[in-house]
Amino acid sequence: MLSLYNITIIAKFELKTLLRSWFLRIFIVLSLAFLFMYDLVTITNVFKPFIPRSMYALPSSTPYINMVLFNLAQAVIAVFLSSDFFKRDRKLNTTEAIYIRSMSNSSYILGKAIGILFVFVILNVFVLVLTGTIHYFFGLSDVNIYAYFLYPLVISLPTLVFIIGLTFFLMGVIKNQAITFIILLGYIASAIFYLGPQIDPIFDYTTMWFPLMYSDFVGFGNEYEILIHRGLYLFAGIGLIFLTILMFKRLPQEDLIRKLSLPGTIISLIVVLFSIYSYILIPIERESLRTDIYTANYESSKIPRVTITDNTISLTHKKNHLECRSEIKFVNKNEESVTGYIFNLNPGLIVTSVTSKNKNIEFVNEKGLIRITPDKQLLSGNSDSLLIFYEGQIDENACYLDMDDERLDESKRQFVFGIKKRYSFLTENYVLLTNENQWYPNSGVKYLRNNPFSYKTNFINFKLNVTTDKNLNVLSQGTETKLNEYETSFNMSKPIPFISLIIGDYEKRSIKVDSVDYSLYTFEGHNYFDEYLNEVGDTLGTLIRELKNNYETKIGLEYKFNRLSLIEVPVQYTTYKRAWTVAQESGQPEMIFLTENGFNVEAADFKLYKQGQERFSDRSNQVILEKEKQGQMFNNFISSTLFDQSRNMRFRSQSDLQSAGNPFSIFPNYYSYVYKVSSDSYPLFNTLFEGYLKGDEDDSPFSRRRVMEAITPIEKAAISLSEKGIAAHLSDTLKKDILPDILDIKGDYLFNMLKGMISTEKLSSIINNILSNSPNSEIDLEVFHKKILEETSIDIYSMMDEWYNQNGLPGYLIEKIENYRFTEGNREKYQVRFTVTNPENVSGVIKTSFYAAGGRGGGRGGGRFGSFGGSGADEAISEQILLLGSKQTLEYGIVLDEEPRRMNINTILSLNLPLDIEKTFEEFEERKKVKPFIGSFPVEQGRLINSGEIIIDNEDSTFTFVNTSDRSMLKQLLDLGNDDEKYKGVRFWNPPNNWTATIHSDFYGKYIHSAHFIGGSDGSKSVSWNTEILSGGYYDVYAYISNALTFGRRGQNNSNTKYHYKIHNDDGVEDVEVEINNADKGWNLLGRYYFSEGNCKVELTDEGEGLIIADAIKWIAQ
Amino acid sequence: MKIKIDHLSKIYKNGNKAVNDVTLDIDSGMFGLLGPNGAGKTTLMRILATLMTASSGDVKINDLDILNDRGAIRSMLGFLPQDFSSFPKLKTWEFLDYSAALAGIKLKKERMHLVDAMLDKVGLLEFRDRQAKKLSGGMKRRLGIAQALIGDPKILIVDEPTTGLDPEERIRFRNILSDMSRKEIVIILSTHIVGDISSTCKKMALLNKGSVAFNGTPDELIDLAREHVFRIEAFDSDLENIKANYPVISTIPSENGWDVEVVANKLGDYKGEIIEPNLEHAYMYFMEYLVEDETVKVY
Repeated sequence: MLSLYNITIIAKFELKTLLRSWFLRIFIVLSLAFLFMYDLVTITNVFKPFIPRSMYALPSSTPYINMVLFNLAQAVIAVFLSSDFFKRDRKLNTTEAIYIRSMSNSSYILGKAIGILFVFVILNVFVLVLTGTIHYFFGLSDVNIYAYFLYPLVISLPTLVFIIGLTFFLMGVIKNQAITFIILLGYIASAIFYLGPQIDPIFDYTTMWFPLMYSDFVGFGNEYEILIHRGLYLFAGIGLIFLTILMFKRLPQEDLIRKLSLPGTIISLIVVLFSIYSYILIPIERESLRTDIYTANYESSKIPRVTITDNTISLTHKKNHLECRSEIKFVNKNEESVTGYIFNLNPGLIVTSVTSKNKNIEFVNEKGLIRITPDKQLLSGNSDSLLIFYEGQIDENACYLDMDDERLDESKRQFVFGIKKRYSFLTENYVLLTNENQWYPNSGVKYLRNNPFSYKTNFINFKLNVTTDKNLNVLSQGTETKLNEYETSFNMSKPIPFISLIIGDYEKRSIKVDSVDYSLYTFEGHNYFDEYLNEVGDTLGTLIRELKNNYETKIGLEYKFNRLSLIEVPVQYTTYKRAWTVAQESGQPEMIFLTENGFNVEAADFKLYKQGQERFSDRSNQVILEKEKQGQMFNNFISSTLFDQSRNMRFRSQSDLQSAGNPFSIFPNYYSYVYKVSSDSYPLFNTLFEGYLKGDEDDSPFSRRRVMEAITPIEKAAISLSEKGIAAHLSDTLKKDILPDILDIKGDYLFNMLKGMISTEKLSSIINNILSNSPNSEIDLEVFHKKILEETSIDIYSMMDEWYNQNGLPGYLIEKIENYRFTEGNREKYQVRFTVTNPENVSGVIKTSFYAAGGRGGGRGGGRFGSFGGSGADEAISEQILLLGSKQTLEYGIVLDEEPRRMNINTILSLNLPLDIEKTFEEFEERKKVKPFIGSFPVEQGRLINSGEIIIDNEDSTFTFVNTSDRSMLKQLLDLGNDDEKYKGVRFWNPPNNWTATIHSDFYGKYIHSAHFIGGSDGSKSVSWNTEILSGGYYDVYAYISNALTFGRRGQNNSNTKYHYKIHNDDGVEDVEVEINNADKGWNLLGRYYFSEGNCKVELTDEGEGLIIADAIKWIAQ
Repeated sequence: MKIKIDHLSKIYKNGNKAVNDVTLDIDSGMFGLLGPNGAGKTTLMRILATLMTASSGDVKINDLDILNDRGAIRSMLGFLPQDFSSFPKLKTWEFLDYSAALAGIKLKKERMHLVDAMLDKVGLLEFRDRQAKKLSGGMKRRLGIAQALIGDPKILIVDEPTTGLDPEERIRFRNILSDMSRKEIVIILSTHIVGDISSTCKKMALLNKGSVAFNGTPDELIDLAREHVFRIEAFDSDLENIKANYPVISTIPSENGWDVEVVANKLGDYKGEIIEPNLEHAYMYFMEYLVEDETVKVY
């Protein structure tokens, strides 16, 4: 008989026994203490730590991270406790006195399982109450009470049931606790460290790798997958418990559960299999839908498309369902007549009828396309209109057709937070629809796999009428009119490429500055920034005006819209950088979507910024008014978030192949949504032009990223272009990932060449002239071509052709850098001169920039708080473009009124690594009676290396070293760290124990400024520079020493360590020690030695502390 | 209460016949199961306690079948296993409480009352809060009988309960069992200590090599040994010889040498006095002279 009573009794006594286990007690104390400290440090301000806001930004993140961490631990402890019950039963000779009691095996096993489970229920409650208390009283974010109930149910419960079931089962089969334990620990480790992260999150029963971030807007956003994933483990656990009941070694007595055990096991197995099947089906369905769409698009791409001019949309939002009516007007701009219309619409939306002039007409709606055959063909130049009725939901599988599986499947993670990637929302309380979701009909096919640049946008007059719940706010483009409680209409006065729709419970704050309405829409109750920006109020207008003016001056474009809204969107909302535009879906006309609560928006981390400010003012003894501080904070927030192209939101797991771009960039609102240059022959032009206008990405050699990753995505693109030209890249569909960066860098090269030919000012004036004549419409490239030809006699078409077919890259050698000051009249002037040689077959262009002292802390440190008090940007005091023919040497000079601290030579696109050559000027010596040397003049190419001089760089083949394999079995198994890259970033806290190459402008090199480095050790690993001495004699031996890797942690690295060189000369081996802090920057003399003809070498050992760097050695014959 | 054991056999996987065609009727009262180590007592008890199934034959308790009505039978059972020394992390009273709860006493209050009464009865009340595993051997055994008794079992199976106990504990134990036997319940006591049975059991069976060698009252067993128990006055020189020829029960030094008690069918060359047998003598005589014949028959 199944007795609830017996189950309770057994559970109760199991619980009692377990709670007396010291093992468990220690675990409880340790885990609670750990989580207590963790919470205190990360979610409260008790220790004022420098913790990034993303750790606690979302109210749910606190219970989430606590549950995930605790779950990892309890999953192991549960194995121990569950296996212990079997061991105890077998070991204790009093067990039989219990076994003869009248209770069923099912009651007994269930009682035990529930007892164990209950221990953990209590523990989970403990953890959540502890966390919740800290969160509620001291937390930096609000408390979302649902999250506190959902996470234990979703994370803990299935994990525990599964692991209890699995342990019971294995103990039943293996009957040995130690072996069971080893097997299970092995399984747990492989699930958490390998199967989950490397293969698929479905294998990870702990949910460590499964996206479970809970948004205040929309919850998890992947309820179906959660159901599958957690259902799978819950039922697997239940099935295994049933199986244990069947296999239990005690004579059974009949009861219902036992009778149900076999069917129960089978049903559980079926549920598990079905879950797996459903899970497997998710990508398969996506793939099959996308393949269908690709095929359908390809087939329909030949049919000439009409151009939509007007679209009037009426939309009714009903829970998770849309009902729409779209009235489109279009014109045939083709030369031939159009006999069939093709429109695209999300395949989740079903067309119910199409009418033309109040008459129903035939249509076919499949695979995301609507095919309509009109009564009569539409002649060239003629217009027509249609009324399309449709309803349904958005199928997100049809979004981002340009992204491959790899990119779509990349997980979105930050710390231990996994976030489901969503491209649109359509729920009862929240709606987010953008053009990418195809929520209204557009002309033609959306995306062609074989020709991504054929993506067409044209400018349309939109009108939108939305009916929804009266308590929800509706946001879209254009002038808003509230028609009644339920209905809102939007009227856009100018044509724009697309509109978006957001419905939600929003709170609005707005300010009007110079006829533009600036609004901030946040989710009801999300107002964390209030305390940081409470005093900025009356200066806001001025701040905004200044920011806007500065940015517009920088990019040379004007804001053409009347509104700009920053809209908070759910954390799951994901966008991708596309090949053909810098615009991402989180930038919409008049709108920027900011991630929920500023999650992963670096500059929205006001707390951290404020701490930095305080630290800065403490150090500098400056007293800054709160209001001023807040102004700085606001400026930093806006300029970093909206203006900075490189300040990108990057997720840890995201591939390093391409630069992620800044999804919040405002630039598309200046160009992409206002202008378009179209050309059938050069469809790439608009992309390149856009890339040029947006300005350079600022990958400063001092940026943290440079140190961490050695080679930037842009440099990877340059390396790839050195191997094959752009034509080959465009036809290589496999390397799509790198394409945006290839276009970016190659476009930069094109426009900088153009700038060099016709001057920056002239190019700007031509561009402005063309753009200002045709906002909100397409511009034919022909207009550009004519204008440039007319004013400068440059044929942009032939230039494009040459550019397109070019192979190989220029390379630059910068030499004879001189800097000094002199007096002209009564003013100090600063002269910088150098020669630059391009020995390659391809002509090139470089950009020199000079920065005044004070900017970026003189090039050291830099980083996040380097720009307090400034405008935030590192303004160059001079910028010049220099064209360099193939195999040409130029002597270049510039005279500056202000003392430059640093020079940057941006080689745009070249064989140089890094692409930027940096030079920091220590001091300008005064020189008398010198003439200013200004301009660039071709000179005979000097000898690169003086006679009698031998230089061996670490890039040379005679530079040798021996490394041992430092990849442990575990590392190899887990595939941690990407070992494919030749050049690696520097991790000071974890220096390599093998010689490793890295890149830095300060290193010696021909094109590639690299060095090898290693963590200081006992001197057993050394490198050697080998060369052949052609004529015997005395040589001065020099070592090139830079302080390239001493930044970031000033004074901490190379704590005055000594480098140990071994010079093999005719008198034997001479040990030379160089104290690194006292070494000169550049060539350091190691001594004069006699070398006879033949081979010789210099060695450097890894003896020392910090990083040991091996760069180049020079022999100079005396 | 009536237990009918009918042609019950248990053959282990290794071919060992632990119980061999046992047929027994057991009525209310105390039933002693005597036999040497390895005679199959424990196997038989475990079958009766529903911990094990027989290979053949069946057991009926009243009209309940031990295979089909396991639940009902278990609800009538109290069982004290042969070894009863290792406990989960529970206090004395908690362990008893656990047993009581499983025996079906659902009300906490009633249970607490019963537990204390039972602890008192077995003399453990003052140790009620001690960890069960920290009790002494005798106390553990008493806790064992307490857990077997709690919940008023109709059938009480105690397997070798007195082994290893000191005499005082043993007597206390026998008394507890005797008390119980006044009620309408079956108590099956297995032992290899004859004294346990002589002092408590009305009926008994003697098990040897898995088979019932004797089934009756202790007196009937004693009767079988009448005129077969002798006391020999022996000199030192005879002692070895006597020991070689007869099963010796006791050897007590006397003035002239030794008073040796032996069992024998007939006393040969030695002069001995017939003495009144007790159960121990009878068991010895039976095992040495009667059972041997029996086994010859069997094999």
